Amino acid sequence: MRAYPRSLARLIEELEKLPGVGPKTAQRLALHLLHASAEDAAALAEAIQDVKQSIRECPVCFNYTDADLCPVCSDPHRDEATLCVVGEARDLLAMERAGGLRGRYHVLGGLLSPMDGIGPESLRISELLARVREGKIREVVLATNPTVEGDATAMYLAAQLRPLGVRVTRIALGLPVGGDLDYADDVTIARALEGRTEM
Amino acid sequence: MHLSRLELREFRNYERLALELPAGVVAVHGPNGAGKTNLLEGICVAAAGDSPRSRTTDELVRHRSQYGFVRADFVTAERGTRVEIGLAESGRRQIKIDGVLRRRADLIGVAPIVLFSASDIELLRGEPSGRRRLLDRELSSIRGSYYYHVVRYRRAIEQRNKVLKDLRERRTTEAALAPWDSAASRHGARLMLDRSDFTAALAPEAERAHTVVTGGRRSLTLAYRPSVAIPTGQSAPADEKEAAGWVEQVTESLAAALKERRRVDMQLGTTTAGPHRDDIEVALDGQSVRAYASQGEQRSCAVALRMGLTAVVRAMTGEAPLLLLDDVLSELDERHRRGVFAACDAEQVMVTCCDQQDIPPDVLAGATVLAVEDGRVISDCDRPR
Ligand SMILES: Nc1ncnc2c1ncn2[C@@H]1O[C@H](COP(=O)(O)OP(=O)(O)OP(=O)(O)O)[C@@H](O)[C@H]1O
Ligand SMILES: [Mg+2]
Ligand SMILES: [Zn+2]
Repeated sequence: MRAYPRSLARLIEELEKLPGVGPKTAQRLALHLLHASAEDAAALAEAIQDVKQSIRECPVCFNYTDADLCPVCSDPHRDEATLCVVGEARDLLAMERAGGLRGRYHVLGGLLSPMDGIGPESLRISELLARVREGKIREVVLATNPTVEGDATAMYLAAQLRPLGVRVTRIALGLPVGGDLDYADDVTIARALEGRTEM
Repeated sequence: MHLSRLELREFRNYERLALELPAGVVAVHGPNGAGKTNLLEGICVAAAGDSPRSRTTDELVRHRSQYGFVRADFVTAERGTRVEIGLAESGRRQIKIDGVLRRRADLIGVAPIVLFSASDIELLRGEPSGRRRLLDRELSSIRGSYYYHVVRYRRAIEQRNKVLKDLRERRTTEAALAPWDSAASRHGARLMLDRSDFTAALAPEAERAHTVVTGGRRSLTLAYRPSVAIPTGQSAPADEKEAAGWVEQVTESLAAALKERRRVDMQLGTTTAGPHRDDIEVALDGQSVRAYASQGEQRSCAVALRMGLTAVVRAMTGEAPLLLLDDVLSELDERHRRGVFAACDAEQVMVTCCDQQDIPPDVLAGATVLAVEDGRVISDCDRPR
């Protein structure tokens, strides 16, 4: 990057840190931003800062929120009897895009993976059990990714939930092999939602 | 299936090679180091996406070159498929099927091949891990679901082993094992059943091939030796409901074995039962080939094993695989050399040797003969048609 002025080189470096962005793309994006209007560039910078400052975790379901409660938890029309458990907040967003669930969510904050040092205590499992113990939830839909880790997590949760007297179902089975929920297309997710299986 | 055209560029010791090939026997001969094995390796790379003998891409690229390239046209009764593999010294490889970029898994079933190589004899002599790798490789290439379960089983065992180590150091509780036991037994059961079926299908074919190769004085047996016992003597039921129950049963016995071994496993910090500890026992007249057979006998057994595989792959995919025999004839006497060709059951057989006189005259007469030297095919000898 010897040929670049320092500030441009820095922008390229920062962009390269983004997922899926290699040196070539970073360079293209940086040059694009360089030629963009001052307003557009400022709007982007502001949007990035805004997201960092205002987005927090919903205290109930751990979805992203910029208010007290996230949009799902604060929606009174949501079915309180059905709770859908996902690994990450982005999985929740994917489910919402597919529009197949009328219930609420619980974001675990990851999946069991001893090799990555993630055991049951690293996930929001006690919070989940506490929500179920409140008594309004009839069915828990386990929608963790269909990876080995997602399956194992679902297995673990099912064992914890069953004694609480709720119906436990799993929906990941219809999803593409090894695919992340995030990347599954909406039709597939919608179909998977129909075909949930008892655990 | 047969290979109708092969192109190599900057691959191993080939700078540039283009060959048109007919079905039938193709004899490739030339001195040591000429490039015979490399030629077959090129075909394997096209058919499977990787080389049976090297893990890294850069070895495949010709010295002092940055990129290597293999193009192969495979022909079946129904259609032709062009596979192109680009190899970069940096380690990247690119796979195209009929001009479209694909993943390695997409090559499964496109061009079934069976390769015999000298290392097959090591397979009989060596550790069980080599024989498991053979099973995994073959089954993965004919059944996408097997590959899926292999990958997931390995992952589950890795995770389980980590929990075992954590338990040993009292960093977690036994409840953390349960989901991995369950994952390992679910995927492991599929592996066991597929391996069991596969060995059951392979055994009679290998025995038959062995009889043809050797003239049949001694009988070759193969038996699946799972590390956890499963009900044997019958293959999975055809009825779907019954088959599901069968899978369930094996899953449960594997889960039970994992549970039973839990104490030991915790002490050792590793999983001591399951398909990752399976073996296949190969015997001649009931005596272990590994322990007792002579060099020539071991070679005949290894050849018979590959010939048997051809038959099984044909039965499972409906397509006779391309048979590649690298240096199969050395150490064999004339009768056994004839036997090898009599046992070949393929549309196309490519066989390498140093001296073309090793090939029985009547076979040679009907064969396409390629003389290789120093990374070049120097003659496409006249062949009576
Ligand atoms: N990446 C490479 N670039 C250039 N040459 C290579 C490369 N890899 C291997 N070779 C050379 O290719 C030559 C031919 O190897 P190959 O294994 O095909 O010989 P062969 O004809 O099968 O001989 P043999 O009869 O001894 O089995 C060897 O001399 C080896 O050094
Ligand atoms: Mg060789
Ligand atoms: Zn919420």
